[in-house]
Amino acid sequence: MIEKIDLDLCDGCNVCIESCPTDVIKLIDVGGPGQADTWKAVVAYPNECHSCRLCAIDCHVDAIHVSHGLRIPDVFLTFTEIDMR
Amino acid sequence: MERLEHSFDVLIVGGGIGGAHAALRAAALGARVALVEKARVARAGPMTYVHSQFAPDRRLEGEELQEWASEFVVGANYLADQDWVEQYLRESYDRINDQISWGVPYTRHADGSLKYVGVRGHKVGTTLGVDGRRCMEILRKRLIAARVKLFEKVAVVDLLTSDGLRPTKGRVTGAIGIGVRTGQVAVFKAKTVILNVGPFYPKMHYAFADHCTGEGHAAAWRVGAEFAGMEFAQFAAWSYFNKSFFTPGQAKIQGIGAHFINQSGERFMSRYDPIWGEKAGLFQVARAIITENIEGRGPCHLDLRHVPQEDLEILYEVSPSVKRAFDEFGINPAKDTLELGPFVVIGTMSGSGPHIDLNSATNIPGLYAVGYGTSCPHLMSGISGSGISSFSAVGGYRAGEHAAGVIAQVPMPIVHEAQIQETLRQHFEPMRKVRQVRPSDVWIQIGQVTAAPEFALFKTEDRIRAVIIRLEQIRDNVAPKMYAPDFHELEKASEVRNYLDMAILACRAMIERKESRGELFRVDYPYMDNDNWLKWLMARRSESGEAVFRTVDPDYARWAIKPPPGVTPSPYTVPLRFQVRDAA
Repeated sequence: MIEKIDLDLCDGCNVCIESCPTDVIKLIDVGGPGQADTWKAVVAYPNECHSCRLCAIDCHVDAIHVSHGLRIPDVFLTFTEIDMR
Repeated sequence: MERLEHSFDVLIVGGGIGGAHAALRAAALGARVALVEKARVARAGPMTYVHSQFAPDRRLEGEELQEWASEFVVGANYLADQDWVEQYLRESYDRINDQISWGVPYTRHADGSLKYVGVRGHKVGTTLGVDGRRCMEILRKRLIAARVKLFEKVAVVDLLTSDGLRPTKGRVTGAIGIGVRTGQVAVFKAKTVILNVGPFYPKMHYAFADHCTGEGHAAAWRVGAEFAGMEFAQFAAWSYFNKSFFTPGQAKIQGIGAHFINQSGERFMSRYDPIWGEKAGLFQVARAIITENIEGRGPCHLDLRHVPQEDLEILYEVSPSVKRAFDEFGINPAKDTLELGPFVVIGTMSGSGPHIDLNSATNIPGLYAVGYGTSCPHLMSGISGSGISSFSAVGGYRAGEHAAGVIAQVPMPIVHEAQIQETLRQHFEPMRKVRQVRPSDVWIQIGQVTAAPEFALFKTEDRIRAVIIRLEQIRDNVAPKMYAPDFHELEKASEVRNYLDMAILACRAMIERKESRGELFRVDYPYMDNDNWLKWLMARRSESGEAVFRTVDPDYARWAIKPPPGVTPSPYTVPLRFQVRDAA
């Protein structure tokens, strides 16, 4: 899943949000009250990321780190773990 | 919020390669075309993750065409529609050449000539490597240049019909789309609708198509499109490595000559699939690995140590994710083997969905279906690792051409306000609920019901019926409690409902086919029965919402490739506690 979006690097360009087929990422304004708008990408629905990496590939400042280390939910893999003899 | 209304000659639902080819062909013939996609074209659907396309290296005729066709027909256990296979072999050559002329960067040799290579499921058939993203980016640019109106991040939630009924006795007249982030409602009136149906899978974080949950299937089913091959709706895969990570690109990995080895180093696939061996279909490989594990010869490994670096480079070029994953987990395929984790779920491999004719038309006037999630027709893509994207391109082109040809005779339809209001009321229902069940929780329940070995691996009629009852309980008691705090979750709730409907339909179809063939393995009928079951199983939705089945005999008398008679036992071992005493 998306391990990290580096907010120091993110320039709020919106490309990752367009890229994500499952609509996992959102732009939010992290500027405080009275400050200028500061848009940053955040992972709004982390449990829906399926590690396809399209966001990381498309990010032009390399701010997104996606790990392949994601398990299928255990319920879908029960039969690979049990002794079936 | 004010609703948007649009009218088009041809409405394409889904922006994969089938939808793109359909749109481009219809637009080239002068139709006013719109394409609606719930993600973004080139970042949507399985085509985004495709690494190679079936691509004949020459125009095929006569005996040679038959030789190439037989790969598909045998791979589909003889259920393929041989007329479609022939059309496909001829026209995939043309469609790939279209793409090459548009600048799709297929892999080439150093001298600039195209690099045709093998892939899963083919010995004579050839493929060309490509990064699906780059292919679709080029097609997206062409869509815009051809003045196809793109509606992206808009999910079509249902089709509209001329009589305001589902199933309809009339025509399909358009669709309702909802902005996935904005909730903006858009009503599309259209003379013809082309569904680019993708596969459907449960959301299990499989890095390929978690966003493919059967929207097109379910919409087509509701309006009364006849389906075929739903009993084969089993998705299996083996690329869950070392119990820790996935990669896509399984067809390509098999294509460059991967070996599957058991604990003692034996290459076991030829015991399970004497024809295709290590280039067998995903289901066959997954089941073989599971059987090796059951019989105590596991764990099994993927072995690429013998593969020349040059071929690995091709894999990495068209599937950069494989390289990234290997790097992340410190895998050196020249030295390391990877432990294989197979799994089986209710989902589409290809060949389960709306039945289509040679022009990709369904039985419902005004409705076409193209792509992975059609009946393909009747598994013609079979075990092919790369046939589906080219099939989508051929089917899309055919649908676009046919649709553009009929619009002159079809008046712009009138839509029924009551049908629109009822669809919207149902769709927005989860937003009116207080906090109860999240869509993501329902997926876990679906997994608990469908992934137990007695159903996933060792089906019998009783076990399938038990799963249907539990899925219906989820549909009737849990799904109505889904709540959606925002429009994103609203779309996710819709996806769960669609998947549930298709999973239940698939289970019902599995009961009907009383043999084991392809992706369907039944413990109570553990053999392929060519004497009684060389039939297509068709399903339609009755007015009361039930699935009604019939069988159709393929036209073998007219076709060149004849199936052998007789019964062939299945190669999969059934552990004692999963056996049935009175096996038929």
